[in-house]
Amino acid sequence: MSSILQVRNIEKYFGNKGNVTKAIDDLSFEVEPGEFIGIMGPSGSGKTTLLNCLSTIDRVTTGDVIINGKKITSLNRRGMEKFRRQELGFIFQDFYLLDTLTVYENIALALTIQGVNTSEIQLIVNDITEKLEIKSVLSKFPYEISGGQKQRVACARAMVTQPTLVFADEPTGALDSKSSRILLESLEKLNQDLNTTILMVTHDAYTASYTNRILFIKDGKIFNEIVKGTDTQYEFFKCIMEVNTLLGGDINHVF
Amino acid sequence: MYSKLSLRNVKRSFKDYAIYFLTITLAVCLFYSFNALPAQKVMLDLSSHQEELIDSFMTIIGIISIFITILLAFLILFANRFLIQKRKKELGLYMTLGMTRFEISRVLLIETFLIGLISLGVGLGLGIILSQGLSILTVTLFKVDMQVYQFVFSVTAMLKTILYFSLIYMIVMMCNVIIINRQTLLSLMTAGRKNQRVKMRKTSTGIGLFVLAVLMIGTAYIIVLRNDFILKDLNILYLSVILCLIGSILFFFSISQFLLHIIQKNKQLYYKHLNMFVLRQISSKVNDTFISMTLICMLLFFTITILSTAFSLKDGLEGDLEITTPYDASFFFFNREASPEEMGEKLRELRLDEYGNTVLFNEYVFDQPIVESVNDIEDVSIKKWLSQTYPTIITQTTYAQLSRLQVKEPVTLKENEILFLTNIGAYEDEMRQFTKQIYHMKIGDKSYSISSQGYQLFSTRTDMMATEEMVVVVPDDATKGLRIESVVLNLQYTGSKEKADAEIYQRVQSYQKYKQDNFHLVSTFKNRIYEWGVITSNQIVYIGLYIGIIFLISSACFLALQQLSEMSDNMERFNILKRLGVTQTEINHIIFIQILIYFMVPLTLAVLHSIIGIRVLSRTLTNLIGSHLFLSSIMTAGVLLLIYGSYFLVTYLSYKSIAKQMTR
Repeated sequence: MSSILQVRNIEKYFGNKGNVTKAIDDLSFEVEPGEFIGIMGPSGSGKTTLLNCLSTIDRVTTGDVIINGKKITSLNRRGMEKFRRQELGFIFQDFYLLDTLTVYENIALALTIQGVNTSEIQLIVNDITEKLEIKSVLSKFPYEISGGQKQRVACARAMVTQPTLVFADEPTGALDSKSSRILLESLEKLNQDLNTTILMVTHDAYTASYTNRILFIKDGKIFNEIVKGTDTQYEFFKCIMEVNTLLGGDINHVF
Repeated sequence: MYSKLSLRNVKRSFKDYAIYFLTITLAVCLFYSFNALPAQKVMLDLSSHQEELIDSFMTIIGIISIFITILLAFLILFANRFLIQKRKKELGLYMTLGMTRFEISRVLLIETFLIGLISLGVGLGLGIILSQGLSILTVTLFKVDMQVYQFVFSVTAMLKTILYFSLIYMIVMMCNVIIINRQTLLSLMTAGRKNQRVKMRKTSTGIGLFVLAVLMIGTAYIIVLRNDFILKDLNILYLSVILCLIGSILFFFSISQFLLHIIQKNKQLYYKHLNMFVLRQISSKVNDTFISMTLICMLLFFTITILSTAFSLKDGLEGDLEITTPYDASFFFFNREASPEEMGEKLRELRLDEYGNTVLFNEYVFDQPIVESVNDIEDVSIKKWLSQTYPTIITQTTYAQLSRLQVKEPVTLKENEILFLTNIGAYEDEMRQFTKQIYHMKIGDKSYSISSQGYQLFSTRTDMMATEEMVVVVPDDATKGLRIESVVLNLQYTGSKEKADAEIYQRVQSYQKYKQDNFHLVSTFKNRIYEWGVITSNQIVYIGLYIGIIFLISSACFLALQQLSEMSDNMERFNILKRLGVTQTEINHIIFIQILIYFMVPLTLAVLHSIIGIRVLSRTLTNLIGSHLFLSSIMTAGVLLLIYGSYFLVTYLSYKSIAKQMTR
């Protein structure tokens, strides 16, 4: 049992008896520890639904999701909340930082929720902020720092608890290209240094090219899968573009 | 079609409307029950004199009702604006679907009408129940036997309630139309987006301000508590009120910063679970809330003070009557030109001794403050009081006669001894201190010693209020050369009191009609004063209850709306917390704590203020009886708990249920 995430034949329906939409249609895949995996697909392909189902925000209709050996699809609400707290980390397009807390407190909050000791908090936060080069803004409030810094703070918050799995939903969506690059390099670094498993949803091919493996989704099914392997990032990027063209998605979603 | 939409909207957004509905219903209920008070007349056996008094009481209630209507109109408008604000997006959607502003206004109009109709109906229903409760209160207050229990219902009050509230709804509807007409589609559609970023202030200034606030409030407290005659020296009173007010503003401005700073010092506590989130949450809102918090605190202060003193004031007033009405009737003249013989002659012309025993006497007056006639007194506050007091003087003979008329054993006085009298219970303490500190008093050239008794609680005439601050009983020959202020005749009936009252009243009336000069005769009757006193003191209770409860509702409603209007910002934060693994139960806990703090902080300060306020009132105004004050405080706490508590609960529940819907 080496996989950190196993998805087995999951389906997700929306709507009621008369009118059912299949958002996810019999989807299965596995993620190995330490992987940086991307999920791509056009609008309405079921990316976000998939992410929600995997991250315990939503429930699947049928099928199993197993994270770190735990069948999350059979957890009750309380169990799910506890699981989310202990095993998962989140990064969102809109940063989702608490505007009332300082950068330091935003990161520390993730630890205090888990009941980590005060003295440890300081060490852990210092450590991760150094890696992400945001140590200089620790005492500032979110409205005082740039978008790129905000996203790195969100990153730090997601990683600081050393979760089994980090979900990133369009993390570069609200950033300019330079900030995006810095962020993605940070993610890559954290993935390698801390061996954190990251699952990233994006529709930007450049962003996706930082991952090790990409799943393409269309109409709730896996359409294609490409692995970076020994390719350079540029070759991988070209590969992604080809699949994207094949996918027939709206060209606007690529660039 | 549109009415269907409105109906569904009202049903769907009932949670949003909960506070609005609760407030209007309570307001209607109170408005009706207090305006329905005269309908209770049927249950009471009242004299025509009492009925007149009750009619004038109703005029007062009517005037207060107008003010209360204005207050409620503002409150309801505020609540309404909050609702529109919340629904802007929905209204924008209607507009994109092609509804005109006029049609949207119409939908809102019907909604307001529906809500108004329901709350008016429910409010009136509750009001009818409450007014039965008030009837029982009336019966107890008026100390009368209930002739027959009757179901009290007042059509006038109902119509008045409907009229006044219809007016308020009309204004609300008009405001809605204006608000809708001012909106552009863009502003409606983007209403949900936050345009306000939270700005946090540095905490160091908060500490300084908090210390300053506590110092100011503390100084104000000390000033009013140290100063025994605070109500006589209005400048000091104003000073302390202003200090207290500014102190309170600063207090609300700085308390969250102060707490934040203090708790931040203790890292174990600050970085414990969600503590820092809650603290930051509260301190982030301080800029928007400190003014309204002060307002709410002041309203609560008035509520608590009014409610808990109303009953005691009643007892105090009625207790005073026991002292101030020792004779069945009193008559007196004020005339500086006429000689005392002339005035006495006029009084004798009324032939009052036909009805019972009389005592006729002269009241002399001192032309200088008493402080100049007595030995030097060290106590500054007593000295100040004496320098403002011009005592009235009666002779030892008069005192003995009056005592006999009251069937009271007079204090035995030696030939050159004097005795002090007062009929104001609240001055007893001062009198005791004062008579202990003086040894002699000079009148004319002669010096007199003070009786070992010192002072006595005694009235020289029957009057509505205790006004005889200081009367000095002196040996008969000491009054030579003193100016006569008035001539007084006291009467104690021997026959039927009702008959005597009515006949003498007639006689005095006709005397006044035919008087050819400026002899003005004042007559007071014990029975009438009692009737007046009972009704007046009950008026105080009712007006106190009415205003107090309306203030309470207003402040609670204001607080609740403020909490709910911050909700959308907080939902986003709760969503983030949920992603971080905070459970729904914990979020509910945060909501509970947050609302509790917002409700408790102004209440706590208001309770502190009221404790001081009540102490000052109880010491200065009347001799409030401790046990009554305790009872009415318990009652106040009950009312507070019920109304404030239900607003707290409704706020928490609607907050919680919306949080559950809006966060995942």
